[in-house]
Amino acid sequence: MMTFEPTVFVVDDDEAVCRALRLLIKSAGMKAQTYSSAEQFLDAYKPSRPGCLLLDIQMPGMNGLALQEQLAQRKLKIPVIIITGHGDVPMAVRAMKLGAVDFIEKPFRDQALLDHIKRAIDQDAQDRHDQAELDQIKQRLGLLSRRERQVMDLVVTGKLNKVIAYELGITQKTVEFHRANVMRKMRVKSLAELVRLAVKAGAPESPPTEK
Amino acid sequence: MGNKLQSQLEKHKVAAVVALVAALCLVMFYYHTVLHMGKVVTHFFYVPVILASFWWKKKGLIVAMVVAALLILSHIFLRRDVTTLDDYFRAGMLVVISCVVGVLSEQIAAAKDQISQHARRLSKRVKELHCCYGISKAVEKHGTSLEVVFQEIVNLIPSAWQYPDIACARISLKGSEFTTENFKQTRWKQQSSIKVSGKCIGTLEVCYLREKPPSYEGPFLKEERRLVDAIAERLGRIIERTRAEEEASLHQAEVAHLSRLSTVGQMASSFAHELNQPLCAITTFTDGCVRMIKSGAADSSELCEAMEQAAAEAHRAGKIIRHLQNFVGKRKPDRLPADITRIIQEATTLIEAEARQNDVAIRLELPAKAPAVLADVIQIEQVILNLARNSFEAMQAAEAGKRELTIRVSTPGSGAVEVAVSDTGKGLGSDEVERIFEPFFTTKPDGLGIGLSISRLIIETHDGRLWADADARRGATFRFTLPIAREIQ
Repeated sequence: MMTFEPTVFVVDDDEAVCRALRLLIKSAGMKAQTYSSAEQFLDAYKPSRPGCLLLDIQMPGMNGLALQEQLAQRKLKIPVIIITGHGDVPMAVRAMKLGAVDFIEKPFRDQALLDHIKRAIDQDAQDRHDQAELDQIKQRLGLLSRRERQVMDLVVTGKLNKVIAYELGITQKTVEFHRANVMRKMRVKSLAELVRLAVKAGAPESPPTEK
Repeated sequence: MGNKLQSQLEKHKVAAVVALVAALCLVMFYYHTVLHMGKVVTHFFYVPVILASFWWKKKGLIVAMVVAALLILSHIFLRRDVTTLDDYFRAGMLVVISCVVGVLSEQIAAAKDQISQHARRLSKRVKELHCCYGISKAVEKHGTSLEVVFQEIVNLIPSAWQYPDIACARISLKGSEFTTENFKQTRWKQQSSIKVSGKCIGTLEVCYLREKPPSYEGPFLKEERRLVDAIAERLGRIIERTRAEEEASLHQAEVAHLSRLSTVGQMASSFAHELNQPLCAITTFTDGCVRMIKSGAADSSELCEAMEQAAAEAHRAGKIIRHLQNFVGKRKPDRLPADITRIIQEATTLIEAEARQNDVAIRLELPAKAPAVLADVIQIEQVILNLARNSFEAMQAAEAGKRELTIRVSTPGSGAVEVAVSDTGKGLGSDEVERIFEPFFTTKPDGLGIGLSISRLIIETHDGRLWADADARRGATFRFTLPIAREIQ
């Protein structure tokens, strides 16, 4: 996946605030992209672009909370920092529950905001990295045959080859053969690594259909 | 002068009676001595006797008795016959007739006297009434300007007095004085104190410049005394009423002011938000500039632009604060010719923040040139604000994107300008259309319910009308009229 430079996306209906934020972010050596409405942002944003979103809660038309709901619906995982105008605690709480990573009140201290942004961008980078890894694991899992998958599921529970052979009704030799394939296809060198990958992949998926 | 004429007339009357009596005596003498038939002449003596009794009433009796005596004596000395009862009877009749005529004459004179007294009284009353009517008209015409009213009244007063040509008047109040042109304080004066709420605050004086000509005074003095007191009381009441009206107007101004404070208090959070925006922009711009300078990557044109934008934001904040201060300030109500479009635009800037927060679109339909209206700018802004905020409340339940507030100005004629404030909210029921203007009637759970009644009070004080149209389908429309400012003559 190509990596772009992380961008701070700013959505605020107040033009002056947008321009000021663009200047501040630029002065901290980062890229900024401003939008004066949530709709504009949704139209322009592409999930492949890393960064974070600075979002004003109080806006006419689609407000900050509605945008968050839209992001959740479209499964866009960009980290959101909420900017509130007048200490509206209930709204801030709702925003956090909808998945915002942080919130900050206007007028804010520049260092505080930049710290929030840095944390969010780091978070975003981490998330993307994790996602990429997961995608890789899933891809490798897809390469396993049904038998191989069955063997793997039992291996990671810590059962001995002998027991696996008994449960699956095959010979121990066959089990060892499948196990070796699994280790090769999953590109792991030890049982511990295999277990780690399995955990990362989450709940056991149904094995692929018989090839 | 009249006396001289009168005494001349008296002399003539005496001369006439004497001459008549003398002439008749001669005639009778002639008749007695020459013709021997003087009896018939006695009838002629009725003439001077009646005249004398008519003119001199009781004194005429003397003349009658003299003539009667003359007759008897002449009869005795000039005639040769016996003096019969008939002759005495004739003589006596003269006396009786004289008495009767004397009495009648007295009564006639008394009646004439009474009539002339009544006539004078009547004319005095008419003058008083004329004066009172004049005072009423003066108050009606110049109701608000006490100075003009009092000057007119003081000029009317002398005409109500018995001798208007030599009468003059003065009204003295604390700090001001109103007099007729010819006023001079003399010793022939009547005065009364002007009282307001029981306290004496001035005096009314009526003076005669010269000594009054002597005439039958008695009752006139008393009546003029009463008139002075009555006029002074009237003046007191005029002042009381003017003060009450001023106080009422101040109260209304106070109520309007408090209402504005309350409104602003309710809008505080949206005002705070409004001010926060420019503040945030300013701090962010300046922080950004500082960073750029510190990092050495400062481009002076970029820095300049940033600082200029920060300054512009500071001005923007200042404007919002100024609008607020103007709106909230306590001032004496000042009705001057004003531009209604400007008033609406000012009110719109005050509600912009709340409109945005409530997601309401504001539409203004203003004519290119509306006639000037006589209005207190801040109070009319207050009314528009109140109507707009009610509309925001009513549109809460409406779909986002379909909330619209329209303010329209029209001139339907009849010397007034009409402003209509319409919304796309839930509208009004036909029973609510009048009830909503009642004080303390509210459909809001936390509302006081006096906004509309105060708004109506303000518009009515401006000689306008405020009412609501009920059309539940398309939301409510509130309309109010303001009189067009006419050129000052």
